[in-house]
Amino acid sequence: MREAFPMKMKDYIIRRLLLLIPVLIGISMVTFTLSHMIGDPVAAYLPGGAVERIREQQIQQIIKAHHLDEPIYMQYWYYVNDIMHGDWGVSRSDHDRPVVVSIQNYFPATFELTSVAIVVSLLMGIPIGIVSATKKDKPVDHATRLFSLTGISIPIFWFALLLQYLFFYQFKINKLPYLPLEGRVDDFVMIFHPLRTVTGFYILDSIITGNWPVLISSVSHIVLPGFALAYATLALITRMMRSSMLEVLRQDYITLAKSKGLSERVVIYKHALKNAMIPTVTVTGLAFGGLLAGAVLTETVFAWPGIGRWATGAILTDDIGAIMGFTLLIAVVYVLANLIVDLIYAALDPRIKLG
Amino acid sequence: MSKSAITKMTGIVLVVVILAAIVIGVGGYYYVYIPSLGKEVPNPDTIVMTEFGDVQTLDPMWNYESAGGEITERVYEHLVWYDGEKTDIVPQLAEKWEVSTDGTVYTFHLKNGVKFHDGTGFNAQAVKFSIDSTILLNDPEGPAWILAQIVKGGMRYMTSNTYGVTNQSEVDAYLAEEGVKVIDDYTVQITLDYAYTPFLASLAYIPRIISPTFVEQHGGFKPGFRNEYIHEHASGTGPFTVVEWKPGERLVMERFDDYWGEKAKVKRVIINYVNEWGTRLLSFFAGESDTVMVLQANAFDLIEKDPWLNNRQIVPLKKGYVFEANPATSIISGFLNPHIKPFDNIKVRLGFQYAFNWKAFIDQIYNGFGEQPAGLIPKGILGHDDSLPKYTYDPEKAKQLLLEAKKEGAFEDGQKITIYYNAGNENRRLGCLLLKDNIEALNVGLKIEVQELDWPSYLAKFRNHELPFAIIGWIPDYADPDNYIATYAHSQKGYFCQAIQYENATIDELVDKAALELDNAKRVEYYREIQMELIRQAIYFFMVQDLRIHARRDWVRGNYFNPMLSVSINGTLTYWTVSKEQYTSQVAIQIGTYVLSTKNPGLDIPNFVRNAQ
Repeated sequence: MREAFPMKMKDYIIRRLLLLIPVLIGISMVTFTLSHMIGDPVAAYLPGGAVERIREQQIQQIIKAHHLDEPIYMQYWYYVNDIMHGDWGVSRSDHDRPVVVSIQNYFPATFELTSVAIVVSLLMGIPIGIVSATKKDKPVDHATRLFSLTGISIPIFWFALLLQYLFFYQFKINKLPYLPLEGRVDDFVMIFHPLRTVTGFYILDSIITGNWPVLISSVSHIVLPGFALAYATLALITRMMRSSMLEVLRQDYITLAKSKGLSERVVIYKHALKNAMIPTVTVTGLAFGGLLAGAVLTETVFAWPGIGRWATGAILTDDIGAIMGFTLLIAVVYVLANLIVDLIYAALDPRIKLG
Repeated sequence: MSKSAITKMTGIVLVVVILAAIVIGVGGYYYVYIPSLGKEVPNPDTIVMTEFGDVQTLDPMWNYESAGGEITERVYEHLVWYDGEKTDIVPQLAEKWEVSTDGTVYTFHLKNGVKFHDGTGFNAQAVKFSIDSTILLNDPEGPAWILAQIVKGGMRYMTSNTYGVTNQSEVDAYLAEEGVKVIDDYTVQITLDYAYTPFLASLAYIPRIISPTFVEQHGGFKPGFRNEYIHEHASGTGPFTVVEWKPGERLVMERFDDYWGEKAKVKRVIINYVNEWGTRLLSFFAGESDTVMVLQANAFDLIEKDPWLNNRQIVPLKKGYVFEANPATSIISGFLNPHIKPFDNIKVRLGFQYAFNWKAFIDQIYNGFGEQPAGLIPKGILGHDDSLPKYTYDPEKAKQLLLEAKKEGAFEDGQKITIYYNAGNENRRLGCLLLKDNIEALNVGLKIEVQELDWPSYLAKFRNHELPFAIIGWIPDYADPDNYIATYAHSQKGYFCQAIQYENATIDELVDKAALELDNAKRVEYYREIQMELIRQAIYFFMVQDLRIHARRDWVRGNYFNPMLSVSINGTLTYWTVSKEQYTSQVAIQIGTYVLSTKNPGLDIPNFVRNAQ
């Protein structure tokens, strides 16, 4: 029996976390330089489209306030200095709120949605992938392969609109029970049963605070966007699971287990699955990071107030504070996701040595 | 228990939980909320407006955009306001006023017994506080300049102070000038630097009167710094209070039952911010929204295309809603920079004016939602003159003029002019491409290249007077012709004028005179002269006075349109006058040709309604 947290693993984790620092420095330098090189950085601090209202005096004010007349490395230094003091700057595209506040408001929404999407993808993708592999070339296999091919090919925003059109609009006008159109929760529910936010995850918070109307409403609101987001990832996981399962099932030790007389179920679930999971875990980890960063299309269609929407708006308006904050956040998320994936590897396969 | 059994059980439990969640979510939702399907009018005491974009701030000293303007224009109130659908000025918080003979001192007599949302009383101190704070805040993103430019001491403060710094001696100097003076609890006197006739009109926009107690109890006011609390919370005197604002999601207002005037008919207003048109459209058709913001590109999802483009006829695609198009006082124009060759030659400029396909610009780029204006001052504002000449699309004449100019050496054969637009602005891109097509089709040897610039670069070129041609837009802050004329014509005060460094001493003088003139008839004469000169000089293209699209479900009654209101600019609802009820009797069918005119006052049904049978 292995000890719960061997020294080696603790060291490994610490080492990986320390590596975050050079990663963040590198990313922040590149992003900072790029976002300041576009045209006139003054414009990043002015309301977009309002060129008609800009007066020379305003421009001078902005230049002074943001040190825009100093060399770029000095500006980077001011930025790093501010970060160290907890000041991540202000998001111009988000009502001039501090970037930290924007993240606090938008990140939980995306995280909640992404988590649901990943759980759904895993719960559906793994069994479907296994079935597809074990019943290779039979009708079931073809059906599931078609299903996953569709998932990868469908443009997600179109799929989202289709879901809305069917499950909200058509159902509603035909007087059937329908799923909500957009948002995280029903306006009226929120007005009559205000939610006290603890974590920012509405489903969790409503359970914690015993707010059942909000629980019902937020669960029903997450179904469509969660599924829209899940479909593409689900497709990926199914295919991954199928191909790695097929690979594993061809191995010698599987043949040995079968020849020992073990039942099909034991062979698959006890021996093959763990090994087949490894590539799937990689894909899931990366997919999770990717979804967190880029669920913007789903968020836009469903008016889901997440960071994808915020980040896209920031990029389009050269909102430097938000761009920097978002990039650093996602860098941390990716590094952590990768770390967790690697730790899961080690748990799945004792042959894998960390470090 | 064996490991695999545990895993299996966990798997089964998880699946059951997920399924249960879905059933509860859907079933619970149905059980609790579907009953509203049975009602004829959903949520009869609540207006739901679903909009594109987002509120920048609720701060009445800073707000300068129309999403937040929808809130601040009726949660807060002003000394004077607009008379229903007209842009004429009538009393609001001020009951009456006197102006000194030299036009520099305004004395306002205020309403008694008005309460702020926080329960405190409205009085002259509140007015003084609101004006002074707005000026002393000096927010570069806000409308403070409108007050500062004219209230005594304001200009000096504005030009010698930056936002983000409290310069106490300057603050004291401004206050010492007593531009705003409290005479008694309900009388306040405002002194101007000079007699500026549009001042009264500007008061309908700014200041918005805020409760001084409210500000003091939540951080107080510090000159040069925004107050964070009023960024998200409001306390005005208007018929609605702001209950909740979740940026990017929703904003909720509730009726203020202690309002001094006619109380709102609905109890609640919910504004949702949904940027995706498809989602807004579904919400509208399904009855979840009483109105949605419709952009010009989306119009033909609601009405038929050909009747509109050919005859300006509104034919809705479905039953159950009303579609209107009303003229805003905003105009889209273009400029030619007379300091950049070949536009220094007037024949070239005239040639460009005749070469431009005015109708195509409106029909193809604005989907027909606009009219070519006569002159610069739009319909609805004093000084508008339908008899002013308009340039027409006349390729023959254009070619002739350009060839003449070429002979004079204005440009050479094969000469290339590069024009720019800012990335993302589709209308400007198409407008530039249209001009390019029009000019190159004349075959006079001029080539036009259209280039996209990202916003900061575009801005840099604009500031450095480097744009030979640009399409520009202007929405007035207050309903006075000076707001347009100065901007386009005055070499010192006009943003556009300065962008192209156009200097015309005669015009400058006329603009100044008209701004000080108290006699409306004389002002109109001056403005006619100024506009004629601008037209003759062919510096500006007066391209479109655009129409704002408005769509509402037909159970909404009592909406009106006023081009100065943010709700009208956005095409949403005047939520303080509307109510929701089904039509109880047949509504007359009137489908006619759209005509640019004001609605018949007193008639609750709009001009174009397809009978909901």
